[in-house]
Amino acid sequence: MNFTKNQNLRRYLWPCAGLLVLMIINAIIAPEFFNIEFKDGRFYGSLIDVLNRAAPVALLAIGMSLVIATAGVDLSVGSIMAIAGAVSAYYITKGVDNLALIIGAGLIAGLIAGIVNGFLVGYMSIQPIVATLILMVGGRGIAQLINEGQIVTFDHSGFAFLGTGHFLGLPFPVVLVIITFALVQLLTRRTALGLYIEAVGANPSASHYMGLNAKAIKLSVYTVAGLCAALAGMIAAADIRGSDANNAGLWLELDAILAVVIGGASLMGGRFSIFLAIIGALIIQTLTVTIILSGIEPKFNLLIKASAIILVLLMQSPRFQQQLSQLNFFKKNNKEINRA
Amino acid sequence: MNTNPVLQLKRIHKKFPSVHALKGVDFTLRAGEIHALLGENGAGKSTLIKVMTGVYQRDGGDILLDGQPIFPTNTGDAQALGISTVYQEVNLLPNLTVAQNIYLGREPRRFGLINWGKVNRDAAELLKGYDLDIDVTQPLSSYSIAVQQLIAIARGVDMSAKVLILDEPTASLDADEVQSLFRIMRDLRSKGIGIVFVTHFLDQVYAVCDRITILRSAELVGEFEAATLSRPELIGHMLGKELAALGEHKPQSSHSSSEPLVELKALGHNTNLSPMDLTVGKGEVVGLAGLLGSGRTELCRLLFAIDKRNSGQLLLDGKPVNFSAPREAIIAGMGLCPEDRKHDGILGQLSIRENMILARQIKQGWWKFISRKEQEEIANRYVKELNIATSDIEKPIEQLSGGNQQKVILARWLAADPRLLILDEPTRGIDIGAHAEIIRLIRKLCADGLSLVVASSELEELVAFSNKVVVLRDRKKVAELQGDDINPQRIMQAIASN
Amino acid sequence: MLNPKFIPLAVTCILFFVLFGIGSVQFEGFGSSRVFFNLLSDNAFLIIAAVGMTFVILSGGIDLSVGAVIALTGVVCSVLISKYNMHPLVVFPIVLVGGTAFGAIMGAIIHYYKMQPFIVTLAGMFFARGLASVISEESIPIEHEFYNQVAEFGFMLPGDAWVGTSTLIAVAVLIAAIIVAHYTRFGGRVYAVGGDMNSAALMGIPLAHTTIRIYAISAFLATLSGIVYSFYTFSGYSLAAVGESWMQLLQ
Repeated sequence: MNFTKNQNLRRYLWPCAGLLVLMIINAIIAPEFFNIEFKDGRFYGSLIDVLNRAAPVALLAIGMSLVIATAGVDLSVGSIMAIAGAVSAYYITKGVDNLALIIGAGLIAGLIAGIVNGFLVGYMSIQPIVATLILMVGGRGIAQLINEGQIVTFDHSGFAFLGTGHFLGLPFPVVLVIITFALVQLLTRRTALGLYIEAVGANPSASHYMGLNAKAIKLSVYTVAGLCAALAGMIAAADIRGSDANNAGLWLELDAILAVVIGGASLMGGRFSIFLAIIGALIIQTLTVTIILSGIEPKFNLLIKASAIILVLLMQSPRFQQQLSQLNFFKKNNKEINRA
Repeated sequence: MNTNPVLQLKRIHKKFPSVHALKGVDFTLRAGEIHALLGENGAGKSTLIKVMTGVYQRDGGDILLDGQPIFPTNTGDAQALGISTVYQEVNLLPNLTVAQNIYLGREPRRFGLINWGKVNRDAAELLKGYDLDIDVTQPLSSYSIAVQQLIAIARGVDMSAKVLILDEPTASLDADEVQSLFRIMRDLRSKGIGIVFVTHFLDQVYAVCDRITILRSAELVGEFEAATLSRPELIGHMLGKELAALGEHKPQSSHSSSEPLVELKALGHNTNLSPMDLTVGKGEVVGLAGLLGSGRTELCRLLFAIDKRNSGQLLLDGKPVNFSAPREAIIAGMGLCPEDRKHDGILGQLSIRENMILARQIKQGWWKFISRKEQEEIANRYVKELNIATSDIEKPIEQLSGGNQQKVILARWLAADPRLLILDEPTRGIDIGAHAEIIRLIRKLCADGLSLVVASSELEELVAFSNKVVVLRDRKKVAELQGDDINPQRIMQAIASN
Repeated sequence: MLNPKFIPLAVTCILFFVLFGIGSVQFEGFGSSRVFFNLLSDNAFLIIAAVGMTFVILSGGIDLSVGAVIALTGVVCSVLISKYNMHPLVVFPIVLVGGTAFGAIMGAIIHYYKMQPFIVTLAGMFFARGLASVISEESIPIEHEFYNQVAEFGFMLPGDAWVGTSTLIAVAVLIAAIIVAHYTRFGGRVYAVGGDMNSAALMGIPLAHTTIRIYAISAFLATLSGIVYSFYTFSGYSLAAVGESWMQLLQ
């Protein structure tokens, strides 16, 4: 097997190995971790819980993967979740019964939000952090407006299925993640879109010289991110049978970014892997479970997460890798030394 | 003019991982002289400047300032020692005021706080010496590039008054502004400052310089007195007049087939290129000759719709076309290998295979994905045909040598079935062996019926494959050579003649 | 000094006065100096933190950890004062030094490892909040004579307006910041780095020094803000100031 194939394999190896190690640690601490029961047509077990709870972040990570590949970032996905949840709740409480319409409305809300972001970044050349910050801050306000300032609860069995239903034994959110993953994979790897996205992120100038329409590509990635966020938002709303504009998806955008970065993607753009981003989301969730199972109090959660991020980021930095290999942290930055 | 050297560089070596950028170069600057530093891209000019100013550390050799060895490790050091640099892109801070820019880092203080009154007064005084009577409290960006450059010069000279390096200062100036600049330079010269003048405008070199140092291929060609070096000799030194054979270089015959593929009629862009006519026949190779800055790259970019033209027409197969974006040019069958491979050509992280098929994919459209199998077929085919030295098409392209990268870029366009290929300096930064291969390739493509427009500063190579040579100078077309006229001497004459 | 530079500031001021004016007309008693100074003292901590954030943004960066540092400061202060019975005037210098060091470390990582400020300060935010949660999850009340003295310190202005410690600190910080930004060489360097980092480096600005100092200042002011916030709430709570960093960004 040649060298580059090795490199590529290693890219997948680290995150998957990391996930496996975490799971084994969990199993050591709590031997029932890997137990899965099949009862009444559904699977039960800790593993299933992990998959289920990771579903919203995984969905966000799918969209975020594409955005980061273009050297961008989308801070508004949490707020878009709130908006989509609010929109669905609105229609349900207004008496709309048709499930397709309700879900469609939520998706359209996410679509519009994504298009707005994509337009600001792609066509108005506003920096992604700033452009998506607008919707991040204002989006919850919009969601509040839609819900007229209340926390709306509703009862719609069809919609609730999104959050609590099962299909083929798996919780429906997990099924949704699988379906979305499949769709986006098809979109990006069965057409040239994935290659275009990577090209725009890898070298925007050369991409222009080759005729790639960077603006349209950026618009499309933010749109996909918006759709994914809308789906995640509807799952969250279905789960609690309500729409809480303030708390839906709170801070989840940061988890999504972290998931993509743990999966090995660079924030500077270029290569992406949706599969690895989902693994990243699973790692985050599994880590949370590890902390719970190990008896470390949940208050350490955030600190451990922070240390994990810092470690991952340092590992990605070329200078750190260099220092590590030489085990020397205090040599001057400029390695070139004068010789008389 | 005294002959004391104020700055001396001796036997300077500088190596980078992939290239030996300076091979034992000497450079001597006297106090009170204007000294031109000339050389084509890749000759080592900018590396030498960066060594002088501490941006790079030399790997070998000495730098002496007023006879004392110095070791600048950054621009601040160099500035403190007395070496100031003014760059082509001005490199000041557009958001700050003129006065702030001049005194940044050394503002006069009173009781520990900056005395703005004094800053502004001093700045105004300083600029009066440069015939500039402007409001120093306005942001720098509100003034023209010419004025900004003068401000940069004023800052540099004020901070230290031994050596001033001007790196392509006239690129964005009009004729009057250039004369202003020359007046200031002569004034500074009379005050004993040594000025290094880096430029590619030969007229300017002769107008204001005392001596000339020429670099080529990382080596020193020589140091000359401007008064005694003739223009053709100068060009000869820069381009390497030694016609030691690189292989068979018989000139091509004039192209017989007369069907024009592409015609330019009075095509131009107001600041970049004067309107010109050009015809490229089917299966013809048109060489573009001229020095750096003559407009060759601009012409290539206009052809490929990277820049928009302001005047004239472009005709394809006799019909006028209006490309609003490179994509349309690609679909029409054109391709461009840009001059700056690293910045505009390769997608470093991506594999050789992906780099190769991208143009073809773009031509086909995003939904008609080229299957992985077909991609590998195409990639392997071209690796073989173009003799690309790699055993692995999945390797990231940035790991290949310059020559092989260039071949991959060529393959990219070939895979898209072009009718016209535009190559901008295809052999730059490539070792000699690869040069010959690429030339052979170009000739073969031409024989296969492809039309080519090749801009190159390597005259022997242009001669080796061109059916027609178009000579550019100072953004204008000055000559069109065919048949027996296609030889290096004739080309140089055309570039040089007034 | 420069007209274009002051436009955003002018707009904000005009907006403030317009809103205040509308409020004064609509609501009786609104247009009084008392309400004005109440506003000032309630938001004193915000002003202080915003000043720190401004330095960072001027330099072209961003500091997401400000809210978290405010919370962390509050928690550490309350624990040291209430549980370990240390005097606030001993606690404050400790906390300020710690906070400044935190900022300096972030600045160093940003510069030497060439990482984006967004990510590094994001990690810093998680870290600070995490640390705060570990130290204490519930809100800890602060009961100390010094705090009572602080609350009583101040003077009355005509119109029944109370100018207290927080307001005074906020105003002092504001004045100091304006002086530093516009009248010191460091201020010039901050603007330079924000204008064009490459040009600034070529002009001889020491990038490492400046970057580290900028983030250290931001963290210092965030810490100070946390102290002032504790004056306001008489407590320390790890979930305080959530979302504040985003608000300040907008400012």
